Amino acid sequence: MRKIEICAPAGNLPSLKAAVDNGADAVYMGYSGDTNLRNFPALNFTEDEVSKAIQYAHSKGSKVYITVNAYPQEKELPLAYNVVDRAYDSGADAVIASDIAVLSYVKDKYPEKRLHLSVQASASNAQAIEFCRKHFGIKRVVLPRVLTVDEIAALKSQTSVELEIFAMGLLCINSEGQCFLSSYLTSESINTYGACSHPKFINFEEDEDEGVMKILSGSVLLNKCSSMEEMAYPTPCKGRYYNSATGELNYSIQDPESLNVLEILPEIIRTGIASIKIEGRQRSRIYVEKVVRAFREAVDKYYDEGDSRTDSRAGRQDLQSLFEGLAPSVGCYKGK
Amino acid sequence: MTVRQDFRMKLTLGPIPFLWEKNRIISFYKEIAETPVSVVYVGEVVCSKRAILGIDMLKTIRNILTDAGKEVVISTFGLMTNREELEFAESLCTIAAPIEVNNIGILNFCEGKETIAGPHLAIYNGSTAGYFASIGVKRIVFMPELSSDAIRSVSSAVPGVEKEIIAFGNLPLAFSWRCYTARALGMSKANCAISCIKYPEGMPLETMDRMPVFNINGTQIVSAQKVCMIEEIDLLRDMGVGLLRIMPHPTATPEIIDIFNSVTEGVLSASGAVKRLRKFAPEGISNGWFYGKPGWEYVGKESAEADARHVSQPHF
Repeated sequence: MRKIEICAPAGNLPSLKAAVDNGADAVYMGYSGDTNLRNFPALNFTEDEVSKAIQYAHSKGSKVYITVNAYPQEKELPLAYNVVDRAYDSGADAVIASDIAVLSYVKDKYPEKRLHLSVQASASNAQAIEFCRKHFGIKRVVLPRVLTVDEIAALKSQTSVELEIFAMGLLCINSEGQCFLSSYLTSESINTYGACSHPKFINFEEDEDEGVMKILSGSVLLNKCSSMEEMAYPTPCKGRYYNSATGELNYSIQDPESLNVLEILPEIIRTGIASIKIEGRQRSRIYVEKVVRAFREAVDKYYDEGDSRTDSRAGRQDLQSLFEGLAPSVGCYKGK
Repeated sequence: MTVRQDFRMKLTLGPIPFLWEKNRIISFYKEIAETPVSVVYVGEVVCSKRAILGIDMLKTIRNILTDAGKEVVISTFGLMTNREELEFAESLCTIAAPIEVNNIGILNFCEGKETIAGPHLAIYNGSTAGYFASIGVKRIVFMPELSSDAIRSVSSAVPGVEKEIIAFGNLPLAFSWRCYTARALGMSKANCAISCIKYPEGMPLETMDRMPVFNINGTQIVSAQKVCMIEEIDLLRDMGVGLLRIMPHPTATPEIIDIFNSVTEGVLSASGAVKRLRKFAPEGISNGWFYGKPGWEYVGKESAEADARHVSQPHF
């Protein structure tokens, strides 16, 4: 029986090796620069590193997917096309894209190659997926984190396109590709620039009256906190706001939480999806190693025993400790 | 690039962003029939649970407005995740009217129909716009976060396609699986009791230092500030943008339309219009994205002309 694929993140070569060595079936990564959605300083791969990464992964039987999933402005399109060329030339097993110009380019120039539709394309229903299959020849779609397990199972029966879902990592509460909260506060679009709440916009100011730290995005206050240790990374969706209608001050959009589906993995596997994706190209090699190993064990256990759960509470806590200040959540997989 | 500086901008009315009572919606469109807007977008964009106007009611509204000489467009959901939502969208496409496509899947239902690419489709570059032109889309409504450079680039790539911009109102910022209104009231989306109907202007969110920033609209988040592009009309016209979208306001829509109409007719100055429009935007007006700045900021015309260095946002 073919097992569900574990698709792991890599922001650099050591992380890629950690992913492959710990049992990732596929690794996704991007070239340096703003052609992909984890455009952070000192992250991603140079030309030479891409070749080495693909060589290493292939030697161990793992696949490599290259993300070209930012939305290019017109003048950036030649670079995006060029990255597509280089990715396939280097032997990448698939390109992950979202912009229609890029999708069209792949379809015209590389009709035989594998093309995956990025989560940023916001394709969360059978018709949107079918449109992209028919017009751009996508083989797989990465689903936005907006569907329940039941909806995913129903979707599986309505499309021939492979489905990939997020299993672990940061939890976007809004439909990916359709969220402009960070852009509204900072001017820089996650879709075009490739980073939500980029560190360069995060400012800290001491509030001398209250003895707390103010956390701002640009000049807009996201939160105040007394201890920096347990603070989640500041994004607008995880800020605290006054709701003028209820009069309450709280996390009006999302509590500080991260995605972890290990508890419901059997249900997810039974939907028939092709791949589970671990978020976190910006994270450390240790993160990749620990998370991939935990998922490898859980997936193998499911196929051996029909159940994936372990009794290791310590293991679960160890895994969650990778997400500073965030509580585990299954998002909307178990209901809205 | 062909620049047509002599044509007159048309006004359009966007779909009602918040959920209003059914009777109020009907009387609202009767009132709109008397206003100088050329195009009216009708229908629910945000949440399938609040699509309270059935097909027959939508047809009635279409008839009221077409009798008054308006082009009527049926708007569709931005986010859909199940078969029921798709079936409803498909039934909307049986109405004899152009469709505003806010989710790419809707295009599968639109063969032989006039289509408009709504502001929720990701069109960031001229090549993507060209793709939509090639499949017959007759009009593109720009995504709110596009800068003037992106608008110029997209616009010049598709001279034969009509271009529209959201010119006044709260801007759409996000769709979620979660109902933020229900959550604020301690409920889940599954048991929401359509509680958003009690908030016809949404639930404003302010930062901890009391700056209005977002607004909760069911499963959508919109901006607290209202975009106001009236000082940019000449620039937009030179870029080939021919339609200005005004978003429905709970009480003052005809008055807002009237202000825009006076400007496009040349009987009111843009700066005079801004002064009058501010009273409909107590949380402030914005146009920052157009100038490559944070979306919530407002760049006044004089400062924009002085190289957009000075940014003012006096209305917190």
